[in-house]
Order: sequence, then C-alpha cells, then structure tokens
Amino acid sequence: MVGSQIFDIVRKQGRTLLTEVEAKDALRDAGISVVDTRLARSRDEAVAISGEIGFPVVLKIASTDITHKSDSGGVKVGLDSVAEVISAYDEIMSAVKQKNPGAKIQGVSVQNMAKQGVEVIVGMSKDPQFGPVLMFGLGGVTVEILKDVAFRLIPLGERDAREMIKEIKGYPLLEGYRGQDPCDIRALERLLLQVSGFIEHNPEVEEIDLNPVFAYSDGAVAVDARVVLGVEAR
Amino acid sequence: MDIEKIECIFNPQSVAVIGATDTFGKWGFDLIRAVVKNRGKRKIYPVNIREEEVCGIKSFHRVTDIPETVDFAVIVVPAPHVVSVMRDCAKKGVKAAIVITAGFAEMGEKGKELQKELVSVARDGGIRFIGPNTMGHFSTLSGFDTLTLLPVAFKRGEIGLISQSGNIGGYVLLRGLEEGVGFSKFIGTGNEADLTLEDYLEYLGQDDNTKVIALYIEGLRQGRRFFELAREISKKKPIVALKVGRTSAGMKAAQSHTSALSGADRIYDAMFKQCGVIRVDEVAELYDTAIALLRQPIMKGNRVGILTRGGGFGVLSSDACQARGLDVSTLSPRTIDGLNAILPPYWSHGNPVDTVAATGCTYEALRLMLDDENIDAIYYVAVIDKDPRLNIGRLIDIAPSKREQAERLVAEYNSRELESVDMMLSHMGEYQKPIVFCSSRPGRKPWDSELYHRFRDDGVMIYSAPEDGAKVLARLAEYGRYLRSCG
Repeated sequence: MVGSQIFDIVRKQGRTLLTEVEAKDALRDAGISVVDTRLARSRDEAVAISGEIGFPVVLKIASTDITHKSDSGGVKVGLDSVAEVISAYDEIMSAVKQKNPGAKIQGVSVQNMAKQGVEVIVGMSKDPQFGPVLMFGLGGVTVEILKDVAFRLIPLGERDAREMIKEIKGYPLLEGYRGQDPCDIRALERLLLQVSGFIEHNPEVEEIDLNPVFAYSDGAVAVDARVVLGVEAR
Repeated sequence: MDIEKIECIFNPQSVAVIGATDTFGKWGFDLIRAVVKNRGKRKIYPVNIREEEVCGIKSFHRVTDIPETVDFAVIVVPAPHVVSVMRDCAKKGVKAAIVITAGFAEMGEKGKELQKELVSVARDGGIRFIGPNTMGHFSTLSGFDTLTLLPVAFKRGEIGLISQSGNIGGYVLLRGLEEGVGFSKFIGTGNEADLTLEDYLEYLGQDDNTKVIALYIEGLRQGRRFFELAREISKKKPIVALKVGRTSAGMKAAQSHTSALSGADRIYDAMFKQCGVIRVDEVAELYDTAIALLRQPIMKGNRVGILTRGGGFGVLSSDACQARGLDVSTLSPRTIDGLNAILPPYWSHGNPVDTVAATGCTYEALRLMLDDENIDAIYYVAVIDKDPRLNIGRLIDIAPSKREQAERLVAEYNSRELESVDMMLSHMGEYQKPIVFCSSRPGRKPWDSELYHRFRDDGVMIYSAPEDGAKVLARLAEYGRYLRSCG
C-alpha cells in the first residue's frame, strides 16, 4: 500500500498516530529500509508470519490505544520457536487486558529480530518558524542524557546530510571505535535524504521518530518507527 | 517584493517630515536636521500642526496641505497620532514611510492593537513602511538619512547593515565612523510591523552597492523565507549574522525587546550553517568579520601560516587558531630552506614562523610563506608600529653630531616598512590568500601613525589581540568552505 492510502485510512478512523505496521509500510513505500514487520490478528497468524520472516522474532501489541507498549507488558523479544511465539502471544494478551482493560486491540505485530548495530535515531518535527526539521543523533541513553544530536531544515542537500552526521560528538563511534567495523555512513546519509524526501512528498506528516535505527558496516535499518499526522485543517 | 517602494525608501525625491520641530531636545528636532543635511535636490517638507516654518523651511500643518507630490513620509509624532497621520499619508498618495515613534507592539496588548490598526491603514493606502519603534535608516549613496545618531554623514562603503536593535546598529556604525569604515545602507528594523528583516535582506541581496550583508537578529518573523533567501544570496555575497538568545535569559530579553518569536537556538544554528550565513557571537565580531569578508580573498582551505616576531604571540595565535578549527599547517621543505637563508639561525624552524625579533626580513618571510602550497592564509602577528616620534624620542641623549645620521636611519626604516605594507596589501589579491594582521601593541585604535593609515585606507583592520584575528580567520575559512561545498 502506498503512503497516501495509509494516511487516508488513518484519517478515516479519526486517528493521527499511525500504528507501527502502518508507519513502516508507509516508510518502506518511500524506499526507506525498515525491519520487516507485519500485523497478526490471531495466534495462528502470528505463528505463520514468524515462519515466513524467520526466527528469532519480536512480538509487540498492536493497539491504537496503547502508546507505551513495553510498560503494558506488550513486548516480547528474542522468540526462537513456534512454541515461544505461542506462549508470548498469550502472555502479551493477558498482560495488556489486565493493564489496559478498555483498549481496542488489533492483534500483535510480528517482526524480525534485527541483529544489533550501532544505535542511532532519526527524527522529524515541525518548528513554528522554520517548518520541518530533521534530527540525527546517537540512539539509546546517549540521546536522552547527552543530547548529542544535530539538526537541519528539510529539504536536505547531500552536503547537509554529510555534515549533520559528522557534527555529532559521537561521530567516532560511527567511524569504528576500538576495532569495531566502521558504520556505513553513506547508508545513513541516504536514509536522512530519504526521510527528507518523504516529508517533502507528504507535508501532512507532523512528526517522525525512527528510534532506534541500527547502523551496520553495510546498510542501516529502522527497527522502530513512529509517524504522526498533523491535525487536518478544516 | 515591492522593489519600487523599497527603492523609494532609500532614495525618495520628496520627503515629508511629520513631527518636525525647532524645539531642541525633541526627536523631531534632530530628525528634520538629519534629513536636510544631505538633501541635494531632494524636496523636504516639514509638517507640524502648529508651526509655519521649521529648520528655516516653510512648514505645513498636515501632509495633505503640501501642494506637490510626496514620495516618502518620516513620521515622528506621538504614538496616539501616528494612525491618523498614516491615514493622511494614504490620502496624499505617499509610497513609503518610516515610523520612528515607539509605543506599539513592544508595549503590550494596547500597543499591539494600535500597531495592527497602523498596518491596516497603511496596507489600504498602499504604503510600505519601516518600523515603528526604529532609530532610522540611511543610504550613503543617495544621502537620504533618518538616523539621528550623529549630526554627520556616514562614509560610503559596501557593507549593508540590518539591525533589529538601534544601539547594536549604533555600535557598528560608530565604530565604522571612527575607523574609516563605510556602509552602503543601514536599516533599523524596529517592530517590523510591515516591512520585515527578510524584505531588507532580499533587497540588499540584489543591491549592487552592497557587497557584504551584516545582520543583528533577535528573532525572525519569516524564518523559512529568510532561509530560502539567504541560501541564494550567500553564494554571491557573504552574510554575517549576530543572532542573540543562545541562553534562556537572552531569549527572554529579546522577546520583550522587539516582540519577535525567538525559536530554539539550535535550530537557528543549523539553519545558518545550511544556508551559508556566518554566525558570530559578539558585536565586535560582527564588525570585524563583515570588514574582513569585504576585503579579504576567499580562503581556499583551512591551513594557516603564522608569522610572528616573538614567541608568546606565536603560541597564543596557534592556540587561538586551532581552538577555532583552523589547521596550523606544516611548512613545505622548500619554505623552510628559504627561511633558513634569510632568518637568524635561532628562528623557530616551523609554523608559527618566529623571526625572534629580527626585523627587516619579515616581509621576505611572508613572501616565502605565501608561496607555500600548504598554506591557505597568513596570520601576520608582526605589525610593529614604529612611530617616528617614538624613535626620535630615543635619540634625545645622542650627540648632536650623530643625531642627523640617526634621524635618517629612522626615516629610512619607516619608509621601508611603509613600502612593505603596500606590497603585503597587494599580495592578498595576487596570491588570492587572506592575510590577517595583528599588532603586538595594545590598544584598539592605534591609527595615528602613517603605517596604520596605510592599512586602514585599504580597508584592512589590525587586531590588537591574537584571539580577535584568529576568530576572523576562522570565519573566512568557514565561508570558503561553504562556497566550496556549493560546488
């Protein structure tokens, strides 16, 4: 499904927040590399999808009413077998029903457990003065504590993408620190330009969080994605 | 943009000064005199509800009483009368105006309402205006001047200054006046009720008389537009900006000053980088950087060669350069050989090149360093002001028989120095490498001697602290880097 169709569905349902699956579908449609993530509406579907995308997998509650999935017991990682997927599914459902009794539940999202890379984040928000602004930084605790992030106005040029990656203090980590393989900087640059392009084509998007993105020695992939649409002008 | 109306702002053929007066101490007293001082063929009409004559010129009670056409209105009546005066101007067919009067959006809700009314009256009448709450504006080319800062004309030059504060603008202009630096145009933007900083930027961007644009910014009203304009303009002419509000205290002060929305400073920072605007942190730096960008060639890399006549200044300069991201580069072997041949054996044998107080060979050393392909700019921390009076003072105890000879030596020394200054200044253009000068003598304005005048007349500043020159060099490198990245 293309991004605009997804946005239409979200709007029709009176929402502005895309589900993780919707967000990733819309981003993938724009050529952005995201972890393969699909919606399972039942336990059986969860098992079937796990088999298709390959173990290990991650299960996350899919509910438009729940934003803090792990706080509700709605996330299970590192599931290696059909048996583990089945019990994880049941555990998630009972935990969520207990903690969020009124929540409307679509099912669970099943996704490939991405191999660990260097965690970075890519975000977009709208500045009242300058409009859409892209943010790049190191992910995990670093971003929260050190605020080691760089900004650029959208649309970005190639120079901007290159410079904003180099601008963060943690850049040496991406270059390969203490024998680690260097990250694929070009792939990160490409990702930034793709997100910039995505916003140019979809100005109704109000907010994006790709957190974390795993950067590898070849390529980079968005592991989690959050996309919010703006409140429609009447 | 309303080019025709902005043209009229800088060069009106006929001007009404509304609120002009002969009562000393009132703003309208200074203002009519500022407008009259370079009038040339411009027609000036004082307007004062009570007077028949102001400043020796026939005065009118209302702008609508003036029998001829009026291009431009200078409005300096008290705030409660500004709207009705603007209405008269609209009736009269005035094209553009400046509202000097304060007491509008910067003064709370009531002022905001008044400002809104003022804008709507002006818009309905097709009048574009500067202000309100501004210290004035000028064009040195046309001689039109509403600035009451000093009863003198500012020197013509190629720096265009747009300031969201009167006294910051004043600092830059007055330093320029003292040090012989000229300006093309100045605009104190005031509250930007109608015309905004972005309008002036767009205008100066295409103004052939403006080669460098200097900005003092508290908060932008059209951030996106600024970004898009600056991105185009900075490829053709440098833009240097002092943007305040790095701290929350500064941001709060700026908001109450011109009631602009000051956004997150980090976003401003990124935005400036992205559109090639050179951001500075201090008023003095705004001045220094604008002058250097005007006169110096584009720096082609990051590598600086430092030339000094003493160790301490060499060390300080190296530190200051490196701390600002410049590369105090390694000299090529050819340069070292060349320097070995002309400098005393105890010279530093590297960068910084310390001639160890040896005089008479610094110019030759400079030439060798300019020839070095590992050097993109020279930091010449070796300007010594040999004031002839100072040297002659040393000759007091000399026997009369030897005095004449000593005086001749001093004179020869001074003329050699002057000659080498002329050559150094011409080398900037020949080599297309910036040369930034610093003196090891204290004091901001050592302009009395002939030597310093040579620099000054050529638009080149001499800094008195190694850090100041290093800051400027870093800005030159930054602008060069930006231009290269544009391809």
